[in-house]
Amino acid sequence: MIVSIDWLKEFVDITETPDKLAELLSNTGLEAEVGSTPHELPGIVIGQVETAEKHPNADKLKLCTVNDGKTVHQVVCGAPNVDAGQKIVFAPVGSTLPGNLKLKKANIRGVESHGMICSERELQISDEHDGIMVLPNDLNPGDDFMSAYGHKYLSIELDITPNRPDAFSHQGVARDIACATGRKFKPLGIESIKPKGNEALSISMDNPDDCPRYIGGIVKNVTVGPSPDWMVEKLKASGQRSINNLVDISNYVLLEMGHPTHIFDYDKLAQKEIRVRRAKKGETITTLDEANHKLNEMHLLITDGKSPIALAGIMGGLDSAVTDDTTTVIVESAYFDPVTTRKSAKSLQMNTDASKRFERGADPNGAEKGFCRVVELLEELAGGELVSDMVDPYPQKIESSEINLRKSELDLILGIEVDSSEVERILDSLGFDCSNSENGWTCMPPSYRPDVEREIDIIEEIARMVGYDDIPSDENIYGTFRYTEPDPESNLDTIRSTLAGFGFHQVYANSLQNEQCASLTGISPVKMMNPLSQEMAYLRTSLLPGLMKDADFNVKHGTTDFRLFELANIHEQVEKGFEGIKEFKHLAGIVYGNEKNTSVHSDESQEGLFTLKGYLDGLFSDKYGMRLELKRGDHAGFDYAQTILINRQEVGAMGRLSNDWKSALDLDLSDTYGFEINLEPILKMMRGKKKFKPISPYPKVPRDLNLVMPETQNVGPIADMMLRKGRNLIVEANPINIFVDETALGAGMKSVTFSLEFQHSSKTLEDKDVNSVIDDIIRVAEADFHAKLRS
Amino acid sequence: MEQLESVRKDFLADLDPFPETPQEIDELRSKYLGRKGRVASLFALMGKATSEERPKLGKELNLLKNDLTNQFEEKVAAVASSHQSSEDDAIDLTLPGISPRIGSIHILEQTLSEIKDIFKSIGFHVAYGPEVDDDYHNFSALNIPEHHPARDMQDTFFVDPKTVLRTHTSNVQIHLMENEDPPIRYIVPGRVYRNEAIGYKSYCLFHQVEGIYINEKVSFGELKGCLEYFVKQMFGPKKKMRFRPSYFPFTEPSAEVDMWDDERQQWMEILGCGMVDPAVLDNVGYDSKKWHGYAFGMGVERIAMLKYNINDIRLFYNGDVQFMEQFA
Repeated sequence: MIVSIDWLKEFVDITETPDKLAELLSNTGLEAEVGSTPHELPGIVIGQVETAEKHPNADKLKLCTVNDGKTVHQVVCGAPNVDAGQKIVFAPVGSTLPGNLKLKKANIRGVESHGMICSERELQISDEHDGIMVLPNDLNPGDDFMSAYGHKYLSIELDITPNRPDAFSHQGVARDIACATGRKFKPLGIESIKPKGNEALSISMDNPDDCPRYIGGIVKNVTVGPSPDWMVEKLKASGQRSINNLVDISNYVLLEMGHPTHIFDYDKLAQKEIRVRRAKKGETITTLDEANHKLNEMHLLITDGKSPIALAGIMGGLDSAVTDDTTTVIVESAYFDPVTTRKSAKSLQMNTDASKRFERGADPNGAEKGFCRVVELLEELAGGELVSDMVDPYPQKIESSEINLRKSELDLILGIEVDSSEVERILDSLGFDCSNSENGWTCMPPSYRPDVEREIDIIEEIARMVGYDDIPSDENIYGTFRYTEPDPESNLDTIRSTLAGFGFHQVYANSLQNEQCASLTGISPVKMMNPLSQEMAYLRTSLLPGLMKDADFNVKHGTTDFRLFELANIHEQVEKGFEGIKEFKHLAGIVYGNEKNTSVHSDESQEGLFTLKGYLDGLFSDKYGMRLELKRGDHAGFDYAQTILINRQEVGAMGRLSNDWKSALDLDLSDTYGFEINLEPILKMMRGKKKFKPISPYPKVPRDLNLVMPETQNVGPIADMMLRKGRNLIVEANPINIFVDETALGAGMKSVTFSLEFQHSSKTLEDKDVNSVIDDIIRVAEADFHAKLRS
Repeated sequence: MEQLESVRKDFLADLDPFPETPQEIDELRSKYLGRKGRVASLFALMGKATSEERPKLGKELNLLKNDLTNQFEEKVAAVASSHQSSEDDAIDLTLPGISPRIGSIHILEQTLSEIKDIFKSIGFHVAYGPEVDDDYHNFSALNIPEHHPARDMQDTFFVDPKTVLRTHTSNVQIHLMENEDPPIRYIVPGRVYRNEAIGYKSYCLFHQVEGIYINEKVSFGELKGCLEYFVKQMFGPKKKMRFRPSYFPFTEPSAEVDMWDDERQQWMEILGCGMVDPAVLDNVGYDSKKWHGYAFGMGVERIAMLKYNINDIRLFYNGDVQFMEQFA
């Protein structure tokens, strides 16, 4: 809410500059931003328009003379409302307007103009710019504008937290200022009003739980008209436009003391009574904002005994609203139940000044004060007379409960010893009724603080008024050792740093996708009930589409060779309902473009299935000592799809990303290779500790072995066989060359060179040891793989 | 005379190719020009020559000696200079190196690691929990009742009326406390969601680190000390900060922490915190008369944006290699 500094001054002395006051309020828990109105407007003065004639060369401009107290200036003005005799805001040549606009002499349509007559928007007082700002006539030309008049519009915007309904008014904010500064709080003195007639008004509530208190009264002989300047100015400084005296009075009381009230046109009520009840299903109302609402039993209504005249605690109805012809009104000042009001407002997607206050908890006693204040102002400003009793059905009085505040608990929570007299001063100043008890105080919170129900709530009040800055930091660590793993996901760090070392960039992509994207995997995705848009209505089931989109983004932005990975959660709706939602930690990556670019040193080479397999091998085999295997498989999204097995467990897939996915995602990518792995089983495997194996001091014996085999024969199983048959002597068995030559080898045959390394853990190997292993290998190669030693 | 020509011929033959190593050069020098070299041995012919022939022969011998010496030294000089150029200049090291490709860990991950390290250094453990949770763990147990205006503080994605994408990682503190007895001290990082329009300042998701410490006696002063330690480790020991009263349903008293930004010349909000509300403790079955605690929560994005002066939150999520390379 926006508070006017001048208005606050009616309830507490303020000596601070607007900046300092904003800081003070922030430090007491009312987060403040100084309004955009500048505190000073040097050089800008009160002026008087002496003459205003039509501009000789322009129909819509006026040629004015402005007296600034010393001289008379010729000024061209485009505002339709400028007129001779007006007191106005004058910015002479050489002065500066907000936004660092320096005024210079100008020539407008052939006439010199010396300065400017300002609108409210030019002074950043309001958005008003249809005309110039016309000032009250009692101001003196030549006086500084800000100190003579502009200060009325100095304001501070406060972000009121949901726990502080009391701070939704100038009086409430002033109370905090008074407490924080130790100054005297000067609340509004409100007297009850004696009726000047004895007309009857029947008020009833169907359910006092929905509406515990409803005060109403009839005011006659009101004259609708403009509000006085002081009221218009204060409303404007608080961001409200003046409508007419009746509407303004209700708004004014709301901003002044925080209680929402409503004024009905008595003559428009079908039956002259007030009945508060829930709406019937299908019932409708048109509210003041001319919106039609279809209602049901959730909505609380004010009715005239027959039809709805207001949405209780939210907004009045259009049909019963005051108009220029209104002469008799009913003043409503009620207390509506917070939850009832909130449910009703929420379901209608309405959030009004009234509903905001009732939802957070209005002051049940404020209802009475609000009524009296509105009636007082109606009598004073609209000539009205209260002709009925203040009818006040309040069957179940809302009472605060006493709270016991222990001094020991206060000191423990704050970590300092708080001076008892300070505690008493703070609570007294905030309106709490306190008395000493055995171990502290017994406190009765004021009715405008429904948020204070427990000891901790009072401790907070004291803490914020003591000032958080005055509570010293404790620079010690206390606590107990724990012997569990400090970070169960620290293993993931190695995955990330290894892949980064391989030249992969880690990305974070949006988890929310459209239906098509989230369904590509064929897995049922988790759907949002209230998405931002259909583009983000599902949780992703795979990390690959996000990576592909990132690839597309990079290619479009000129980066054509890259490796990307993401490590994040995916979600699956395995079965219906909350229990059927499963979360899995996934690792996925893609490689794109050149693995190595052309340079003076070597030619380019491209990323492909084998570079990808190499990265995975590097990560899982070399880094973690796990066994990585690929097996031909069928996986959505991949051509050349391979199932990835780690330690013989299926964990994911890799391959070339399919054109289906690329076109489904509408991406223009060339060959993209990728993988996706469910990390959950791997994280379990990672828990095994690495163990040192003794390093053999004996020399390694290298041997090459050339085997000729059918071209269709896979090489991997032969290398595996060699290691197996190596009887722990073969430490390496790598295919290093594949050679095809029809004349030398025969059609459909290839020759594969294996580079073997032999090593014994406890002796130097001799030829005979190696040869017997090799003989064995050749025998099995021939028998099982149709592979023969190349002669 | 023939012998002279034969030495010259041999010499010229040996000169091309001219040896490269100093040793070979010395050998060649002594072979022809040394004291026992072939030119020196030619001088022995003087003794056999007739007195008429002798002056002419002597002149020829000296001419030969000078000629060969000059040619030899020219070659030596040429070798020396060619050596220099082949050793120092023949390799053009102004060419680029053969560099490995540099990847990167995402700047949010790096920031999170830094946050984790700081809190681990003062006794916090790290815990994780689900991104999709029930209303109870995300709201009700945290003292945010169903029809409370505090629900408006976080725009929520619902999967169904009782299931949400968590709006904070505070849901994990409830899971933790349901499963463990006090005292506990954890930070909880993770992805959280807010139903907000995407712009340079807000995204539909972000990453949060929540912290919670429960013990018999825990004070607001300790909370201040802990977070001051964090801010000063993260942003430098001279960083100015302030605690300002605020409201969160799950803490009381609550505070927002601002940090002074020298560049913008204003206070920037960096985290929220407070003393754990007794209602939260009671909800998980901790005796709020005995146990106290503090909790705090911060956005990793916000910390990274402040630390590295990043002005658009969307940069974290669009996978732009040019962005990531800056934090390699």
